[in-house]
Amino acid sequence: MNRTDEMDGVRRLLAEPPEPSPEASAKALGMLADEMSGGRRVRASEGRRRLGRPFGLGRPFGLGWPFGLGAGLVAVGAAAAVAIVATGQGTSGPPGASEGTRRPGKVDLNRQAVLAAAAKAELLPTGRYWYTDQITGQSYIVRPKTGAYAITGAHFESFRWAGAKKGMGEAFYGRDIPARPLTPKDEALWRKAGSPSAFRVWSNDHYYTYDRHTSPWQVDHPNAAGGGHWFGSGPNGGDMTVDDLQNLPTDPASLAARFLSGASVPERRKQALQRQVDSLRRAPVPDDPKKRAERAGSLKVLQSMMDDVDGQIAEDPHGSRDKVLDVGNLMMDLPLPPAVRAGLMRALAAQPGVRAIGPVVDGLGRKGIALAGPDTTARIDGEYGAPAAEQGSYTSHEEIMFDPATGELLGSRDVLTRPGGAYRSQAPGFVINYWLVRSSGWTEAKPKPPAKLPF
Amino acid sequence: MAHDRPPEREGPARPGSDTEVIVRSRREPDAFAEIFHRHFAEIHRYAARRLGTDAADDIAAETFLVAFRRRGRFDPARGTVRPWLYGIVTRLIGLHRRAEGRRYRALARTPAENVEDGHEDLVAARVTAGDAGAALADALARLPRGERDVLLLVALADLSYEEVGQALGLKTGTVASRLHRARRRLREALGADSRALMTEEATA
Repeated sequence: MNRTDEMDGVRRLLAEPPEPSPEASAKALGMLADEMSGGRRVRASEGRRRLGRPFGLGRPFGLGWPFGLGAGLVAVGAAAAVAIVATGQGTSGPPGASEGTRRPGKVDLNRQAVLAAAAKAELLPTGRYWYTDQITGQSYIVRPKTGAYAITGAHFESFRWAGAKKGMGEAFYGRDIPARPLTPKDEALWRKAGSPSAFRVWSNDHYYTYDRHTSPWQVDHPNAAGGGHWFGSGPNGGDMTVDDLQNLPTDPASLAARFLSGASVPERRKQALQRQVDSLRRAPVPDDPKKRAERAGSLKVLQSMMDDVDGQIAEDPHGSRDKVLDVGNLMMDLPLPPAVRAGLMRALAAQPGVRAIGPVVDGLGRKGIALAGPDTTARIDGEYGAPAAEQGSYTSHEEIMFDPATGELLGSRDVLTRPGGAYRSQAPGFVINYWLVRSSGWTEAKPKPPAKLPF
Repeated sequence: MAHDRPPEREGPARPGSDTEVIVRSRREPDAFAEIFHRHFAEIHRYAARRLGTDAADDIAAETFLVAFRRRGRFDPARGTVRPWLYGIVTRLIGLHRRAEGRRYRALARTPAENVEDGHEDLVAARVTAGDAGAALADALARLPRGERDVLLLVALADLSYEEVGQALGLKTGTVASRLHRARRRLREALGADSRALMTEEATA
């Protein structure tokens, strides 16, 4: 036998696969169309959540994070330094001033938020470094014979810091933290099941086993020369610099125009899909029967995506769920001047489809006040192989939570409003996933991730 | 080694090199669809060869979303679009490296075992690769990730050393040395295997 050339061997071993199916191509194109239309911001939030439970296989966190998903999803925190903190308040206006036209019920929250942010601004320690410590978790249902209970899995803590100016450095850390029963009731059922230390659960499109381990902090792409800017939050996903931060407006109307202008995100999505359909239709129908079938398949998939979008438009005509997520993204990732923060809160509270829902308690047991988007329906079918128990539809809304005393962002989460599907036996209020700010702020010394676990 | 994708593939109605299209897409986001049309099948194929078709559906789609978001950071002075896309897909594949390892180890096992698992595509691949396949697959599974990325970009994506360097952000010299080490490891694995095989044949 002749010795095989290893490169040819590899090519033969990993043989040419079939071309992507028309459905897969059309779906990918539809996702891109969505993204090109400005759905980017939405997807960024979803994708970011997904970091804790990556599509397909494997574990959260990898060396590819900041690069691969980083662009829009993980902005490297950078700092606008003392100047911003000190100057931010001037234009935010007194709480409640000229807000008389707002519906009652929102005024309080606005007042609180603005007051709180202003108070926070006065108290904010200024410093050379900005850091943010965040926790993401996703709820899963474990279904032993002794009774189903919910756990938080894909439990992940990230810590990143950046110097106020370029050259001061930046780093990004991550660690797995233990999966755990979600509520005391779940904990009781977990004990009844023998307090297992591993949880095999359905996750999107496969079974995955989460366990109670903690991984050491893993630093990812530290950059001693970095700092002073961050990615993905500028127009079209470009960089934002310290100057950009300082130049942000503080009044709600300008901030809404800048960051929440996607009033018609679903419509724009639909238009983008329509443009793809039109361009497919405009192109001559290919002679090759295979290509023709591909074209028909693409049209069909795009049409069904448009139907889905129609359903979304009906439930959330103003794209308000996305706006809740967007504000969360901005506040998590950027050391926004307090007046900008306050302005964003007021802007969000004033959006149609966004309502103040009163007191909440977050996953770390902290009391907060919250704004919520509209109820939207998720439908899980068997397309990705979900077992029967995981299929079905449910509705939920996205909440963003603030500390009433300080105006600080506590986090955001997806909360069940109509049980169904995998969550059919859960009550409204069940937390489907969360994304919490454990701590964030300025320091003089280079920040270090905490050794202590959050739970 | 490098071959540019023909920009005229989509017809004269959409002129422009890849780079021109990307630059244009910074002002006209929809223009980016052209990059998708030109490269999706190829990127999908690469991902499918490393991770299988199902995972490739997700990863290839995600690659173009990431590329779109990062189009403002694409630097024409530092290379062309194809290596840039391969860089993105390679990093996304990196998030699935355990799955990739599992796949190669499955390839290294006997066909009969895989048939029961329903991995007909793997079986076909093993048969195509011949007797050396098991040893190669096993060696691939063991390759350090950095070496595997370089090796597969050269072997499967047909990138030049310079392009691999662009894709992964490595110096050309690093690409060359990683490739050299990876090939040596595979040759050693194959050598051991073919020696064993020759012994078997001699005694048969």
